[in-house]
Amino acid sequence: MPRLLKEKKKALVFAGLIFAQLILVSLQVPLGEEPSYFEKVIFFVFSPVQRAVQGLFQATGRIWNRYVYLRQVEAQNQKLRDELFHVRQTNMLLTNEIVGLKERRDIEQYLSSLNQSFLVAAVIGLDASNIYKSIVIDKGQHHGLQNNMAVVDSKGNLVGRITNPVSLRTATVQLLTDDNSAVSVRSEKSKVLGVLAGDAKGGTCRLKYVLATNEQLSEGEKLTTTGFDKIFPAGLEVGEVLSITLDSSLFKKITVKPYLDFKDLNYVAVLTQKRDDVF
Amino acid sequence: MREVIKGGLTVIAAFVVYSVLRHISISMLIGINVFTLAVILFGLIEGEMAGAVMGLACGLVVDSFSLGIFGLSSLAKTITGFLAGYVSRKLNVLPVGRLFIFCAIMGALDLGLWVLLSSVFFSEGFPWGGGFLLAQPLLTAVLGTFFYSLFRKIKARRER
Repeated sequence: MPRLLKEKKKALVFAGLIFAQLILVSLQVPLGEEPSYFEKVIFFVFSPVQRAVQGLFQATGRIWNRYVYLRQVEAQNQKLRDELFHVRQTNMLLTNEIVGLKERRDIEQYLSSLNQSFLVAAVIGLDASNIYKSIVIDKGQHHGLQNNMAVVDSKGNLVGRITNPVSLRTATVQLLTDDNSAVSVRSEKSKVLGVLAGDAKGGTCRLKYVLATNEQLSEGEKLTTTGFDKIFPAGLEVGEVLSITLDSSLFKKITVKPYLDFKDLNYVAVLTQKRDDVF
Repeated sequence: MREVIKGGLTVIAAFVVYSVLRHISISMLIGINVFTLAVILFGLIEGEMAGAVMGLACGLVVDSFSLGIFGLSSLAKTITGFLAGYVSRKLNVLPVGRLFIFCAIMGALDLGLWVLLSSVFFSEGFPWGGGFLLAQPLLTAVLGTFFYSLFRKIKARRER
């Protein structure tokens, strides 16, 4: 008899746990995208662990690079010197071009605003249940990060936008490949407009709302942001059209391969000036 | 109190391993679900209630670091943890072959529940990751069998 009571008690506790979680899931409906305080607290408590692991890997990497790979330093230096030379030349050419376009004072203001408009952050974590949805970076409110700031990779390709939860020293970035993300894009050659959304399945995206009658867009075409969504600045490279298929719907089924590369996503840059502040 | 500390340390350990895996390989991160492994092992060792609570704790951590619906992973993991403890008490899962099959079934159950909850009920996408996701139950079985066998050996040696 006591064993039966014990079993019943366990079943009741288990049912209670399941019920509590169903309540937790239902409570989110009115909150929308905004995470609950409970979720924020867990994020706040555990994100230092990720920072610590990232720090450990960085420290190990530094030791490795400094002491084990010293032999390669000379070759690397030479390569960097060559690259720096090219970058300086390009920079000089671009600066001359800007000088030709605007007055000196305007340019100085523009360049100084550009200097302050991005912040480099290290990626310290990937989404724990679906890696194509989000990443966690090591900068947060303390560094001036806010919701909806655009995030680009080291090559300037669009990665996503800052979203909740944002803690003091860490922030979440919603990736382009998330199925709830939407970016207004335009094809480079044919100037076809569409909305880019992720499919959160295998690192690809879908280009939505391109009519089935549209004949201009072709495979391999590059896509850039338009800025119409008032979140992402115009002109950021996003990806290229992988395949275009037709079905019975009004719109074409277009798969896009984003430029964002998960294997190369160690550092990102957050455009700290919101789009409205820049334009 | 000892169980709570043990559980807390297990969650932290699982989170550290998950954070380390990101630096090693992204495919590994999809293929090995450290949290599911921790829940199954805890259920096996400590029983169904501890397994359910561990599932809840691990699931909430997973949900906090995911843009998906908060509470989905925890729901799947609570059920997995409870069943891992309950079934292992009713059936003899000590032989290595049975333990392997048991861990594989529990891994598949957790994955299946999560896919069912996220894509059927909430229309969320799930990451196939080039098929690595399907390897999750198998890898959970391999690692679960290894760690549980190791635990039993250490326990037996201590008791001697």
